[in-house]
Amino acid sequence: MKKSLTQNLIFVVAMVVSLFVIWLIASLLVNNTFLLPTPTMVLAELGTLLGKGSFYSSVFATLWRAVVAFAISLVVAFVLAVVINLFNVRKPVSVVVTLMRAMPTISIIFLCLVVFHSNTISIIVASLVAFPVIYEAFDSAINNGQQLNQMCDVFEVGKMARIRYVFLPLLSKPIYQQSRATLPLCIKIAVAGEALALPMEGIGRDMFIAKNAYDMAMLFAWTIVALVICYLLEASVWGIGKIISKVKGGNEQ
Amino acid sequence: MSVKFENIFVQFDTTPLYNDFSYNFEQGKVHVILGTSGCGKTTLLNVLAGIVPFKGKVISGKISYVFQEPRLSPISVWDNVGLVLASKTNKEQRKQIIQEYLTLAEIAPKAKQRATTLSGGEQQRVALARAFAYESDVLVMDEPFKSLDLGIKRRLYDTFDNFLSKSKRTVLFVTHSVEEALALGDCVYLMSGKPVTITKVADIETDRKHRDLYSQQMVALRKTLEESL
Repeated sequence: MKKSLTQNLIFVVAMVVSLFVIWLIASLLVNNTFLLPTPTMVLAELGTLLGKGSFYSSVFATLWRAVVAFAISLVVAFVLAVVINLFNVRKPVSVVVTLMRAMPTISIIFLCLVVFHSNTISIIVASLVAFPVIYEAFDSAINNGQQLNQMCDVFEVGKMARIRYVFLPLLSKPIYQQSRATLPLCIKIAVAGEALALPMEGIGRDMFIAKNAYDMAMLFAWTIVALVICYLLEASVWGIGKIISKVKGGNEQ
Repeated sequence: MSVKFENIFVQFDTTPLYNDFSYNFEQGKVHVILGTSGCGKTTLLNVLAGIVPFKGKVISGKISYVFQEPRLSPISVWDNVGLVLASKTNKEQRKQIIQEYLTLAEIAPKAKQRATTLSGGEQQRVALARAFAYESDVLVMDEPFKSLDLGIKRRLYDTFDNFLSKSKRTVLFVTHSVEEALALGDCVYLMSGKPVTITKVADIETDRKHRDLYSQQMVALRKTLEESL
């Protein structure tokens, strides 16, 4: 276990270093810092960013929006997946979810721009994008457990007991998997939403300002920040999953 | 309580599987239904459990079901049995019943383990404990030992017998193994489709515990059943 963790870490570091080397070579070949700033320029910009208080409030604002959006989608998807499977009303909900999944993100952002405050647009947009993904994973997990539902019908198991002993255990694995996959997605969508809605604070807003000032090094620095946040979020969920799994003594994660 | 099917009609495709099927399965006996794959054995059990649409009338008491696959939730063995008792009994009673049936199923030491991590035979023990722990008049069993090897099967036959001695019920047991039918049944029925009819009924007088599957009488019965299948 420890060995595989170390190997994994070495692999990630090696990949990051390789990417930096490729980037360095490419920037030297292009020889135009406006088109492709060098890694050293970007790292210097990143260092400047880290020294500013506004950096942390921007990161926190984006993180907050992404986490709230994720929590909203998770709760709504959970409740809906449980309700439609308890009362067998899958079809009408499926139509709505398919529509939501197919709707272009940019349309959702533009529609929200008209109606909502700029500080909340990212939350709404990220929730609307993440919800169908999470819902379908939950619905499919419960649907795969239809045989259990049938067993509950035969043994006249009540709805609350069904939720506690059948649906929740069936959903524990998808909750973990979706948290790992969808939290970083929420960060991406939240940043995109912020770049268009321009809230008071946020990574997307700072990226938009950097782009308008043709400050490519700054834009790259913010991109690295967003990537690191996504990676850390995924790693945190993985760590929490491991701890829970250890406490419960399970081995199915 | 006996199980009475009256004028049952079931159709999945163009040909009816059950067409005006009526039969009365006597109370307190283990009725084993034999038949080839796809002849409609499982459908009869599902009609009784009310999980397939049908026309006609079924008269029976409360049902518990041991399915072909154990159908256990990914929770502890204890909770899997407790699940079917949740709304029926108080906490203390429930605890007592679960302990009693897990002990009878010889699975009590694994009560805290996640049920889905157990072996196939152990999972089927939990399913048996669950079905017997649930207070029912009729127990329905659909090839519950199908995918298990012979040694495990024979141990589960004993478990089944122990359960039945403790808690008498009318049992409808479906299988395509003649040996299983002779080992467990009080009455063995041969079924053929479509539409389903019962073509042969054989009563086994000897008590299950003292039954010799290799006695002359049993070997003869086995031969007759195998030839008719």
